[in-house]
Amino acid sequence: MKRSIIGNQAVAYGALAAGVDVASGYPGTPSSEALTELLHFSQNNNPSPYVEWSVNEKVAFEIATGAAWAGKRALVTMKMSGANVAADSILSVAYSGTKGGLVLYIADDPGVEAGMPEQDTRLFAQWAGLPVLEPADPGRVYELTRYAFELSEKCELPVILRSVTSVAHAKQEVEGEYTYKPLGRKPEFEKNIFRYTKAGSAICIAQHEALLDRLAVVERTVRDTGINMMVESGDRNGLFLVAAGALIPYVREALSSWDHQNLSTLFLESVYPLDKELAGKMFEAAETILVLEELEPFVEMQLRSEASRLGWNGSILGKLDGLLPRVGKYSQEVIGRGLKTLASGMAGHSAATSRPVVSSERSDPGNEESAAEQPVAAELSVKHPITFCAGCPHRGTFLAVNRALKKIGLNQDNTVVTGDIGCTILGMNPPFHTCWTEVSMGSSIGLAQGFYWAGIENPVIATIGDSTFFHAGIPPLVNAVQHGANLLVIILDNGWTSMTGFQVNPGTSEQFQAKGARRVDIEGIVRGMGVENLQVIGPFDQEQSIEAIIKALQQEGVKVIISQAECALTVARREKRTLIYQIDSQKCTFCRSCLRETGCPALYVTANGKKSKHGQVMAIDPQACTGCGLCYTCCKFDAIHEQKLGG
Amino acid sequence: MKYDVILAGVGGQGVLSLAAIITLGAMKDGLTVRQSEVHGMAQRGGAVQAHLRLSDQTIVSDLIGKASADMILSMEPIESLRYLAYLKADGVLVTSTDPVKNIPTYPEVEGIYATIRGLPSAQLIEAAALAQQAGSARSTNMVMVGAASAHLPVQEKSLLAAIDELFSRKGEKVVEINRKAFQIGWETAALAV
Repeated sequence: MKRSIIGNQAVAYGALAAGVDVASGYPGTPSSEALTELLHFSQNNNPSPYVEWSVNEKVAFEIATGAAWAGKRALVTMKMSGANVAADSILSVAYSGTKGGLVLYIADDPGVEAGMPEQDTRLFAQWAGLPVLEPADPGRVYELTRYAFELSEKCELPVILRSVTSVAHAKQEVEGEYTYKPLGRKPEFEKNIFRYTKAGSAICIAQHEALLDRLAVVERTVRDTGINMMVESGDRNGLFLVAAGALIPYVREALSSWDHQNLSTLFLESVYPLDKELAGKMFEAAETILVLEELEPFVEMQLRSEASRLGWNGSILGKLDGLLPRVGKYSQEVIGRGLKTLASGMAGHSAATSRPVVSSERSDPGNEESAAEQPVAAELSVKHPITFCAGCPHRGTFLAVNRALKKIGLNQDNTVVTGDIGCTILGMNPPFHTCWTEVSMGSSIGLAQGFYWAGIENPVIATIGDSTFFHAGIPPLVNAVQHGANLLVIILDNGWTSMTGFQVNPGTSEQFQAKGARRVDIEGIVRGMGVENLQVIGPFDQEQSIEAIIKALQQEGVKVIISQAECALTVARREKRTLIYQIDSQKCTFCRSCLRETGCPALYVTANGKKSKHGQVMAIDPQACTGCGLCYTCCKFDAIHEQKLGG
Repeated sequence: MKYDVILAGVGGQGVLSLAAIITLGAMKDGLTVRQSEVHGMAQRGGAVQAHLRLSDQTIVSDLIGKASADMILSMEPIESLRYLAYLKADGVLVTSTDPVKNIPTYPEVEGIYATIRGLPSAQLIEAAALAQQAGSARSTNMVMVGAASAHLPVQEKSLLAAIDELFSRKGEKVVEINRKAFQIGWETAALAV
């Protein structure tokens, strides 16, 4: 059957079709929907695989590995940053290999849709020594996910299925089975310390050799599948175009309206290890090769190295000669620039060709900026800000931090507040400007200790969300307690992993935990670490919150405040609102304190006031308001009032 | 036949449900549909943008090139102008007139409307007010699907069937409001064409 699904859902259904037994992961854009779909499936079907959101990527990978070592099929999903968290175990498991199929779905983000470095997982895979499949579109994701399990078992290696945002989040109709066929394997784990421990040099060296042998098997195995496709053009002009993964469809489209010389093509969806036999065939026929791939020159470096080994004399156009960018997503314009350079046949001096090509691109009517764009440039410089949702409890926490600092004579520009990954980092944006740093999961608490030991005199505050705290915030807090750092840690606990789509985390309320799972209490963890100075606040109660923050800032040692209120969006999905706030247009003076202090998206400017200049006043969208009341705490003119909702 | 649409708006305006209805309606007509990744964070007030391609043949890639979109369909006036470079010379811009003014520095809307009216082919739809007429401001995005349907190569009955299907679990009343919003949007746009 056919269904319209995104690339991440295709991972889920490909894995189900392959009979996956265990699936684990940690949410991270752009990878999250893969496990979300599997979890949804497992909650609504029987039989179904075991699926869980784990506490972090390292644990998730270890769970998948254990299952695979017992001979079962296992999938683990994460974003590229998560691979760094799991790296310690991934590199070690690569040496041991696997028995059951073990597939790591890792999604990269060229163009940075969601924040974090433009990390290229293909380099990570090469570092670990693991094969990489890189599907071109959601349909291919489905096929290659299925195949990845087979390949993993045949070569006894974990296989990395790498996608990028433009594949993970693209939607198309995909032909698939959309059912689960468990393989019914009996779990068996062989006791073999030579394979499954690292106890001693001889063992590790032997495992390293085994890994390299297995990689050679991958190369031969993939060769027989036709996953990598070379098509030579009839006119033997020596012009070859190599494209990898997500760029293949864009290149196909560009070639469909291509009216220059015929180009031979090599489309790669298995990018590591390089199929050297196939590359050799290309070198025999090629004079100039253009390599199209986003981010690092990964395929290009492998081809250049093979070309050098073979003594091939042609030229390779790509990133290392400066023709194409190493940064961002490739647009059709960038692909077009590459194709035109290849077709111009200016082999051998490609760096010099980039300039004329750019100017010819300008003369291409298809690339001209629309004339109508000019007069609106100034208006377009206005960007809709990314901010906390209407009713978000984090708005209350950051508002309270700013107000507390002001009250004791500090401010956001002289008090270091470290931020962390997730929704909470929006505290760095207007109107709050509270957070100074964002590094990696849990880093807010480690960094804050560094600032303290560096001798920064004003108090240092770390802010971190609940899921991020569970993921990697616990060890740095233990460290702070042990070493006696002086800092305030605010845990913004909204009960969900919200930024990535409201996944359950250990702190999520018991009623939403999976069957057989239970809630783990943050307060208990913090007390268990030996933090004595602990306060729990509700961020919509500004007076209480400000008082708690001031009290903590005036004390020595490690202080923790847990700011607790459920994510406004998950509440809105379940419960009807009973109360909202509205603005009296007769009283509003358009001072805009409410908007300037809270930045709430439910607030807007409207034109039916009488008191204010230009007749403009603030108003509250009754559809969006959740009744949190934070804007009410900003108004000095008594213009904001409650309104009960009937029924 | 192929028809390329740039979708635009602000997080929380229902751009994704709007895309889902057009996609499902087009599939009911036997068309192939591909939707690119969605840029921007949903629900959080920032700009949102996606490419949607419809065709009666295979579509190789999901991205629309510059100066080749048949339509820009936007839930927000400023956002509608952001992607003008993608619109082809005889393409149409269909946008809601309702600005999302969640910034103190939002420019004068009249200037934006004037720019939009100055385009060769553009339709400004008072979507929020029309949605109120239909019964709920929450159906603003369906008003815009209706307005777009005056141009899209998708049958109205297919889009209505898609509305029935996607909103059915929210109850009959919600389906009815959204159908009405679609009709009002279609009438408004069709009369103006």
